[in-house]
Amino acid sequence: MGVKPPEAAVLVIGGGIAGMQAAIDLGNMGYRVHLVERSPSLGGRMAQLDKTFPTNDCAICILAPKMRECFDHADVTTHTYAELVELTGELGGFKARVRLKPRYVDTARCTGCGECLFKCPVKVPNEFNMGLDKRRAIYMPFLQAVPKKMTIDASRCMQLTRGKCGNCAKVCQAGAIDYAQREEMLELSVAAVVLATGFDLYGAQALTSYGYGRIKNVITAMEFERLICASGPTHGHLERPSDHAIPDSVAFIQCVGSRNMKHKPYCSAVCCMHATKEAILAAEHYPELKPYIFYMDMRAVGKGFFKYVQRAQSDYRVTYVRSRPGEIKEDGAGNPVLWYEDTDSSRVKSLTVGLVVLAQALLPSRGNDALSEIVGVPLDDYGFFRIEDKLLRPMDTVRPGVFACGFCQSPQDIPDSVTQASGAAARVAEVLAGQAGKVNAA
Amino acid sequence: MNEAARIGVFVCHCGNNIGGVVDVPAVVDYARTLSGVAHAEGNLYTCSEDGLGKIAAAVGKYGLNRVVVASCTPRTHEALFQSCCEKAGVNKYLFEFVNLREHCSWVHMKEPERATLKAQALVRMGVAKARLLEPSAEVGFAVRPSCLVVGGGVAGMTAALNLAHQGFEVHLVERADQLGGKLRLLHRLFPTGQRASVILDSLAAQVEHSPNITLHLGSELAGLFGYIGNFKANLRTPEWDVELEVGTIIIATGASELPAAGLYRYGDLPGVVTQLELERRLKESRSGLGNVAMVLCAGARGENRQYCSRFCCMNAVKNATLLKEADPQRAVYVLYRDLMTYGVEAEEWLARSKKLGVRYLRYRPECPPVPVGDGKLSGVRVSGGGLGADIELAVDTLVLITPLVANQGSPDLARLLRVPLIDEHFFLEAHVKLRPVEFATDGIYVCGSAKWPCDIPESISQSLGAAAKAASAMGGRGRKVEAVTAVVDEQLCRGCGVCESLCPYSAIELRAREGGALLAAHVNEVVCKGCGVCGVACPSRAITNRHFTTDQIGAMIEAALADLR
Amino acid sequence: MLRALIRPDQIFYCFADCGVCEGYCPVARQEPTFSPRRIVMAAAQGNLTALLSGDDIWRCRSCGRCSYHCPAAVDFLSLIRELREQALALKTEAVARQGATSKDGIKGDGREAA
Repeated sequence: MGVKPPEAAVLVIGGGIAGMQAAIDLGNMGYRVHLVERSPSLGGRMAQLDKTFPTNDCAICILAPKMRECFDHADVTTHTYAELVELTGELGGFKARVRLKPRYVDTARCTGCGECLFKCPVKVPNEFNMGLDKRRAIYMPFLQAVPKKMTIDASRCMQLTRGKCGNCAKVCQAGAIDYAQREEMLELSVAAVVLATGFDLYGAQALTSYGYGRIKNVITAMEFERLICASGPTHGHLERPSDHAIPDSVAFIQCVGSRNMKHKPYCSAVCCMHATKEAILAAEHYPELKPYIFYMDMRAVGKGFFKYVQRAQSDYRVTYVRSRPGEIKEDGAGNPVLWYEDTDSSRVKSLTVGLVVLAQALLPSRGNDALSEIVGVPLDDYGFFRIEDKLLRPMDTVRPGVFACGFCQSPQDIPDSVTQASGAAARVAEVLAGQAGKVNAA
Repeated sequence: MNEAARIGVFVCHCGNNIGGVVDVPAVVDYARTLSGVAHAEGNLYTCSEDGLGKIAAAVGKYGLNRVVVASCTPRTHEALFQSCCEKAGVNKYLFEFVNLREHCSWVHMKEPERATLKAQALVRMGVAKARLLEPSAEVGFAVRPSCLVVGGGVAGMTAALNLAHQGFEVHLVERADQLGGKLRLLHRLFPTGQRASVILDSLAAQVEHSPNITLHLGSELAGLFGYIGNFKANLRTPEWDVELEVGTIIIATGASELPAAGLYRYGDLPGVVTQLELERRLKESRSGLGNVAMVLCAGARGENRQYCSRFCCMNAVKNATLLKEADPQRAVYVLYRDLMTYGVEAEEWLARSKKLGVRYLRYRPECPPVPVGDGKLSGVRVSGGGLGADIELAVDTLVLITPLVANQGSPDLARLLRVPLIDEHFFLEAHVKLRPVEFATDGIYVCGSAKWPCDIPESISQSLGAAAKAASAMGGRGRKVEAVTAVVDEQLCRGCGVCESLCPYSAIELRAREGGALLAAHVNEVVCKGCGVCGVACPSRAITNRHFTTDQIGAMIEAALADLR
Repeated sequence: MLRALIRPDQIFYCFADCGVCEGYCPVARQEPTFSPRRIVMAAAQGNLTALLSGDDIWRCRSCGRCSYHCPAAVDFLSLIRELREQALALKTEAVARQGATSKDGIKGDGREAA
């Protein structure tokens, strides 16, 4: 008894690590996959990380082969800079309309050489580097982007908004600039949908007592990640914002917005570990630097995580302080001053450090609000896609044929997201097998 | 090699990446002087549609039978150029990639003249190898569409059902006389509060009635041979031994509760129980538990077991809630070191339990709680934990929440399967981040607490993940092996076995030669990854590492040093 | 009995290992032994005797910073007022010592109750 390759197509929304894994697994099982990613490149949040816990693997080094495997997969068609705008039908026979946003660059000709970057006069905050530096109106999100093509941000381009400039077109040796490009609509027939839209970051300025936005040397964990990363705005030098000096001590504060009835009551699941990782990276880069982590519970539950935390203490001089600081003030030299309770002695103490890193709460992607309407899957109170049966079918949403994996449905780290992505692929296969005869051909 | 090499060399400018440092026209001119080169040209971007078109055109026009592209890194574009060659009629193994960017222009940006000389040398090396390249066909192999699932708990049953519903044949092996694993012992499950027995009955019934699943109860895996697509598994069943032929294997053998002997006066003082004993009593709705305190991390996160068992905190929160709901007057205390209620549901259960009056008290690892009682438990003394003074709680039951530990049989099973374990004897996956349910060995997958303690939803996600991997191997559009494998010349092989002992993938085995009793090494192409260790070690030079032969590498080295003569 | 007066959901959400309240508290900065967290924990455990007879519950200035920032939404001000009410009813020594007459705090404290 053999099993024929299925004659069906599946739509995956989201090109981060979870979406790519789901697409690869579905492709390997023989489905034709359409992967739709909103930004110009695959990779998602993982591309912004420096290293990943607990192995301290370089994030982009383990991500890039997945990006290529996904993009080059014979059965996966990747649509970047694209969005789902409509989904009708039902399990076995969905019709999806996808908008391919105009890049104003002919991707068949563009080779990603980057010549155009030098001539574009417009500079805007670089989202990939959390606004710590600037990019141009024509840009590639990051150097290892897949596909390696440029994109023009239409809202910032002088040529597209005012008809003045055209520098990139003049410089492009491949003749790839096309200001007249229009959006295209793609109509797809798919049998099932997998949602993998990942996470966004809570605005840390909402926790006014911590001074984010007011005190220069209070930054977020993701900003720290970009600073410590060799491909970031400071080439891996931990230069603090006020004076670009290397801090002699760093305080990582956990649960900023998470586990807070007034902000996000849930736990974001990964921050204890990423703070430990960031503390280790800081100590590794600077042997004199003293890291502190302020926390309530140290959630090191995964494989090798507890040993990682122990190593942070024994080998990297990380001091774990069980306390959630009250307020952060600033001294005359721009150093943040933390006021906190030492919960063992119950005394109030203050600690002056060179830099504060806030572990901001992680939220399901803000795009889920609109996407929820389009795919007909409701969100829970916190914005996660609603799962019908969290015990036995953890990737099945309430709509038959639509599955969700990774952070868009519950807080989780990379291994769990990758696992859920593969699991969602298995569920697609199982459910479609049960629909034999009622499935649209690809 | 029975045809004269007609090599085409395509040197890429890569915009300014290479061309800005290396004098590409000079490299092209140089390439033309090399023996065997029938055509050489420079491209602005060889990887573009335009560049690929030029390769195809040149193959036709100049009758090229080997292609060398000197550009960036094979990591990005090797597959692209290989595919371009195949389409133009040149076998993909007659293509050679020379890296002039990472290996040259990017690292010698300040020395353009020397960089150009180096680029010429690199091209000379590439051409030297290209002359000796041989075409190869990739072997396709079939994977039997049947899976052996070892372990009949929730993970094993879920994987088995998923694969069965997809149309694959499944053999589900369970050591006990019944399905269910830990589900048999649990009362209500986090996060939905459903009864374990209801879930179990439903899953077991589906498994028993599935026409694609053959259930082997009271059975164990006693031997395993073969490789992906072609495993031969020996089962020991109550009646007889069975040999199964399967294509893939999923390990779902779960884990065990750490025995509580020696902890907190367990066994010594009536009233001190384990978590599973509590679950049983809750199932049997036996009252008589009285006031309850739970000690988390009993026997965990210490010298002997340096890990957190992941789900115990949420399980404790769940049970504490159930105890309070059953009797709101009863006092329930949870004694913890860190409360691992991560995510959304666990925090919600925690908040609800606090509202019901469950009290949470932290203790310091240096001062664990002390059970108090004479003849039977009367209380527990808790110190520290931000309270200041010591406090004695009057309780009738002390629940020791011990971690999961690997099954005693794990080392034997790992030996049988030839897969690795970590120090704590949980199975070690291929890559902790990106290949969490696979082993480095193709065709064998792992899920659930056998890999690392996890709760039921996580176990199910993992088992479905493993099922997806198994289904990919067994279904899909067939698999091919890259022709970069090792080949043994039986005439030269002495059967010494060094290669077999060194192969990291267990791809070599000594077997009897045809028509003889003497042994010779045989490489399983499907499993071989072309690492080259065997070829290097063979004392008889009987092994050829295809596409990286000694002659080819030797020619490259000679070419590299040519300008020193 | 006294516990019944303190609604469980007022204080039981307290994270216990947090201390944001004390990190903000102006009294705690000056008086090392004053700990709003310990007060909440003691009340949650039902150890009210020491609390009611002690001076701590009168030290609170009712500035409200703790409650405003408390991630568990503990209503510390209501808690303090209820404890004071009980203390006044019991006429504890601390009441006499502090000259307290109202659950709103000490007169002349310079701060109006929130």
